[in-house]
Amino acid sequence: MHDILIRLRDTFDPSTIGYFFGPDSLYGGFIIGAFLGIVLQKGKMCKYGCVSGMFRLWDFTFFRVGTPLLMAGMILIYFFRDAGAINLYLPHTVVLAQLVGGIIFGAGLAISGYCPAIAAGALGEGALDSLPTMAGFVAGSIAYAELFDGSRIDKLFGYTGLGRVSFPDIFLVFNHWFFILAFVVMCAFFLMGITFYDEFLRASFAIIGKAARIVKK
Amino acid sequence: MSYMRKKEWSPIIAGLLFACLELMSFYVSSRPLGASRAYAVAGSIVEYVFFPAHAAKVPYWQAYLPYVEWTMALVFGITCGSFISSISSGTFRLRLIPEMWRSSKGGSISKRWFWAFVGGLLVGFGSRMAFGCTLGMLISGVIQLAPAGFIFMMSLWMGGVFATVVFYHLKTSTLKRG
Repeated sequence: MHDILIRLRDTFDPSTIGYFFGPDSLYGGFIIGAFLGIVLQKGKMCKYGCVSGMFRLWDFTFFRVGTPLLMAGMILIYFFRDAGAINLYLPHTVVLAQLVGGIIFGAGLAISGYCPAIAAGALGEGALDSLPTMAGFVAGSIAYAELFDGSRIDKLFGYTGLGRVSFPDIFLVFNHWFFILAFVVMCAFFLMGITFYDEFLRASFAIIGKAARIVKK
Repeated sequence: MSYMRKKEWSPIIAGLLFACLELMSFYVSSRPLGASRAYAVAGSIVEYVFFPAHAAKVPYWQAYLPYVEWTMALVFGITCGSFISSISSGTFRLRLIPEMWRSSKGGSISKRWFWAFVGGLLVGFGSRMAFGCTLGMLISGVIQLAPAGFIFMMSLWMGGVFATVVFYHLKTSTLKRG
């Protein structure tokens, strides 16, 4: 028992709270996380009904928040990178791993209704059923490390790896703003359509449906 | 301050603020936002605390050393921020089952908590397999124009719709108000 407490104390590294900037600082993570929690809660995203309703096509909050997020985020990140203020941190692209992993992730997301960031926000909002979900995340990570990592299927996935690349690297386009422009135009039309549907068309469909039911009777 | 007392913000405002936070994360901490790494490190800590001899032999934990880390602070911060926000707008309420689950699967608490755990297991496994979750892979990947984010976005949608149709017995994706 005493050993367990000593090891638990060892997991905290005091050098991580000495400063604010840098990838290890706990203060930086906490402050960004607090702002993110406020945005997630005020955007009405920390709800089971929001995530599950997205897959049932009942609730369009994620589409309406996510589209301006991706548009503005892409422009801001690449603008500040060109200005030299920040560096990109590209994720590994492994085609099969992202395909299969994404399908498993989506299935779990539809069943539990909380993704890792949303679960923390839902707990702050008072939804206690995010606690077993968070325990499930930890158990799933342990299951991956113990059972799947280094197995034959994992090695097979590894052959489809492309490394840390972005689209401008793959297609050898020297100016990434073409991609950003195309994506932003596409997103703008999608956002207009989904907002129009969510605000206006759905109400009119409901009125037409009610009228049709009354006429049938 | 009156803006904090509002129950909800316009989705476009929320999205733009989210993008600014992503930029702030790149500038202040020189890394993209990401949440699922916190749970992997938590798993590493659990193994290190209870079975230290076994945890040293698992090669996967070499990339996730058992120390409290930036992403865990981020997840704790999300909980605190959401708590402050819901208190200030008066929407904080302890509840055991979400309303939409009650309407489609019934009001049994143990059933909801069991399926929440199973879903969380799948999410944890899938996020480790795909090198990130919706925040760290989808959002941070797409805004850096990485193909990984786009592939993950499409496969997440496929898996989610398939599981919704099978698990909730939806015959068609009926459009419903509210």
